[in-house]
Amino acid sequence: MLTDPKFIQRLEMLFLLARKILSGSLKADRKTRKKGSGILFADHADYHFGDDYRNIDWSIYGRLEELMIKLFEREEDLTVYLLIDLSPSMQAKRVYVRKLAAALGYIALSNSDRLAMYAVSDRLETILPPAHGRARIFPMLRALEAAACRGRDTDFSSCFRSFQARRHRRGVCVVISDFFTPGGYLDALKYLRWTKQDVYCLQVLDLDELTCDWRGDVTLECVETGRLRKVTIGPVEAARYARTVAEWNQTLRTECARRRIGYARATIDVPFEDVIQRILRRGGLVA
Amino acid sequence: MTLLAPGMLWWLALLVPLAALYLLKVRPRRQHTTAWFLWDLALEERRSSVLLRRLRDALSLLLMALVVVAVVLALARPSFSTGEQRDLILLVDNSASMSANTASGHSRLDEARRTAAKILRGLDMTHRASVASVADGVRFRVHLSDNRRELLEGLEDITPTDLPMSTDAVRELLASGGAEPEGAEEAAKRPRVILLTDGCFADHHTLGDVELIRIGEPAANIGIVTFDLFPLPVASNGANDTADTHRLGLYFHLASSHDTPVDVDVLLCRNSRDDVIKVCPVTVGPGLGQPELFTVTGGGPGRYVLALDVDDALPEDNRAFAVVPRRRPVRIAVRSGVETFFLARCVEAFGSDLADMQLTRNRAEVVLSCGQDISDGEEAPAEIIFRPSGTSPFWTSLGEADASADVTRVVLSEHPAVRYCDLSNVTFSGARRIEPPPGAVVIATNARGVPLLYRCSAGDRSAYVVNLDPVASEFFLSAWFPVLVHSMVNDLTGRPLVGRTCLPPGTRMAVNAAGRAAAWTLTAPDGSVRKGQSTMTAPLSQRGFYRLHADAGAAAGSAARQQRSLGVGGSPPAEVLLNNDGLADSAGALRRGSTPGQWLLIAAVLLACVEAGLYHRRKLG
Repeated sequence: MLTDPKFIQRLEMLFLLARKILSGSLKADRKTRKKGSGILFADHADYHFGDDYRNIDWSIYGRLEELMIKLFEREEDLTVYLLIDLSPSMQAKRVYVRKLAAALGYIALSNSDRLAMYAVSDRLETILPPAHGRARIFPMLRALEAAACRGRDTDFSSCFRSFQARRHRRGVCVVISDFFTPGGYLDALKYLRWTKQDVYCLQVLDLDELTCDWRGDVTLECVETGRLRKVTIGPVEAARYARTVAEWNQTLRTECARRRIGYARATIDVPFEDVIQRILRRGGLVA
Repeated sequence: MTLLAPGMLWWLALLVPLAALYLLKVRPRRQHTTAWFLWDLALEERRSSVLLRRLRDALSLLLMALVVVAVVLALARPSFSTGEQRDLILLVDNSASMSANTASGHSRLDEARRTAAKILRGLDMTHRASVASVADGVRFRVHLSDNRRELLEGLEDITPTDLPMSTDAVRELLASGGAEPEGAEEAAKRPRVILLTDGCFADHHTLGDVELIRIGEPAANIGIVTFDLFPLPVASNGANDTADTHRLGLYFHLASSHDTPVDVDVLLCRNSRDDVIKVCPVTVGPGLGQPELFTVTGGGPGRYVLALDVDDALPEDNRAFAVVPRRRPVRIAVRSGVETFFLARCVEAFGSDLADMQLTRNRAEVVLSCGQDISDGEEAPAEIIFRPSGTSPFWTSLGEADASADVTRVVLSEHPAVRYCDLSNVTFSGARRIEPPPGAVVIATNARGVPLLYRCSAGDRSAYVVNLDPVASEFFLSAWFPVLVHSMVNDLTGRPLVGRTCLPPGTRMAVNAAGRAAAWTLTAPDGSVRKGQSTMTAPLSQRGFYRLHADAGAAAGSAARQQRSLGVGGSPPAEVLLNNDGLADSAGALRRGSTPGQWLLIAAVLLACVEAGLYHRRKLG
């Protein structure tokens, strides 16, 4: 389905829209704080032995009779990491998540950025190893299509540590998940931020997860652990559940804002193009 | 406690499938969730009710089991009674006084029905009960039955009447149920008779075994006891004033249960209360007041209503109805010898002022004859024959004079011809041995059975034969002579003997069709129609105007056909005074209200409601 021509056409339209919105800043000329061999002047520094004397600013030497060299901002291509939650809890949202990931990946590869995709569940699994260029679009889509839900739980901490252990270069980490993790997500996100990654959280929810329409005696079964619990759900319990979910989501939003982590939320009834456009209009994936 | 239907306990076996069904039913549906830990958070505060929730399923099963047990026990009809169990006859007084309003705004009859309904609901139906109303007679609504619903419906059928209460009817009921029981065993089989009454009758203490339940309290009331209108004789001064020729005498008698005299306006109205023709202000003292007599000018024949302008506990007795009939003088011919003078004077006496009889020579309706052969003149439909002689179709044989005709035996003392005549004071001298024709009604005989006065018919003609010599017995000089003649003329022509214009409720009218049963149709004030064929009509049970149509058939002649209006009103003083201070409850122990089975059913319903709440909680949260 992800390799369907109509779907690819939709992705292309999305990419053109992205170019228009961001006015070409999506080229692989992302500025970094590193000083290097770029063309944009950054600063002056004292000359030391071994420095490239081609960078000596002779005009300053003429005025001050001191050797100063010019520093330039180094430019490097962007690496986009898509960390996709494919635990059993995402089963109902699997198709929607794939479309979102496909859209983001398509834009990244079309923009000459490096793209890598990983499946997050109780362990980290690679969907697409780091790739570059438009030629990798179809392999990316096929790999996404083949990705199924796996594992028994969602463990962000171990997965992110596993991700960082692969010594990835810095980039933009887009975490696509419902963030319904009993062990929490905050430590994992803090860890990602500590590793100098730009983190962007894209929360995908099913409408049925926001509210509860069940009434009466119900045996709840956890889709990940298979645990059972008999409960009686009335208006009070349903309202309390909706309030708890809302508080949970609000906490996620607050923590992301506090830690300069980008955040967006989508429900599966909203077309994925709208979600991508909303993200782009906010200035891209950088928080 | 005893169970009257213990076989019903087998239904308790339903508990087994109920429990099985319930255990299957309470298994909740399974729902998958991706936010298990959020549910944990949401329901964390409710952990205290987890135990209750776990107990709830068991509680539901327990409640349903209790519902089943309660229903089964109710079907088994538990009874706590240990006393005697006898059939029950509930008599509800629906006489006129039971229409009186009580302090609660309901009538005494409503209260009686409510009390009776409580008694019926309290019966465990191990024995039967019956429901009857009683006023001038006992009328069974439901005979002995153990169907409570049927009994309650019968109770609802009891409606108020305008009839006075008759204790004779209750005594007849007791008598029909058997005389004094011979032993305790027989006494135990006799039904209990319970009379729910306001006690507004004089002799309630004479009811013996009847258990009384008093209904209502004394109330202030004024009512009409008696009412009558009668034509007054025309003034002898020869005045031609129309109003004066239609004078009526107004007579009424009121009773009051007020402690002090009360001023009341008594209105005499024509046809309805809107056409008032006379207002009589009277003062009514406590108890039965003095009779009042007034003269009404401009009256005449017609319908009249006497109304009290007062608001009291029993409005129904504030009106009475009367009908003043239009009387046409009866055309009478006299055929006799020397006795003609006396007979003619008798007719003229009723014709001068009262215009009740008219002397004529031809087309007579009644012929008065004395020793004459009636074949001499024109035949009349009716004949009154004194001193029979010769041959006649009104006797088959006529013998010599019976010398010992000195003792008179009145066979039919209530016959219309002699009701107001004392024949024992009449000397039947000159009576002859006479053989009446077949079918004759002999009213009086002498000691040897010789008919002295009888009525008979021959073809279309009727006759009274007075077997005496009026001259020898000096009957013409007796005061009973005009009375007897007048009564016989009225009876032969089918006219009421005494014109009481307002009849008390319960009166039965004589159809008076030549002594034979006649077909009659009685239209009541409420429009209901009763028909029958007898000598007396059904009782006039409602206050108001009745229409009576009677027809004895062609064989009885024109005199047997009558169509007239009747007015009904008035009540006995006891029914008006509404005083039942002297009546005390004498009913034995009676359980009133719901039975244990009904309470069990109520408990079952309540338990089912609780279970419904739990079910709602289980299914709908």
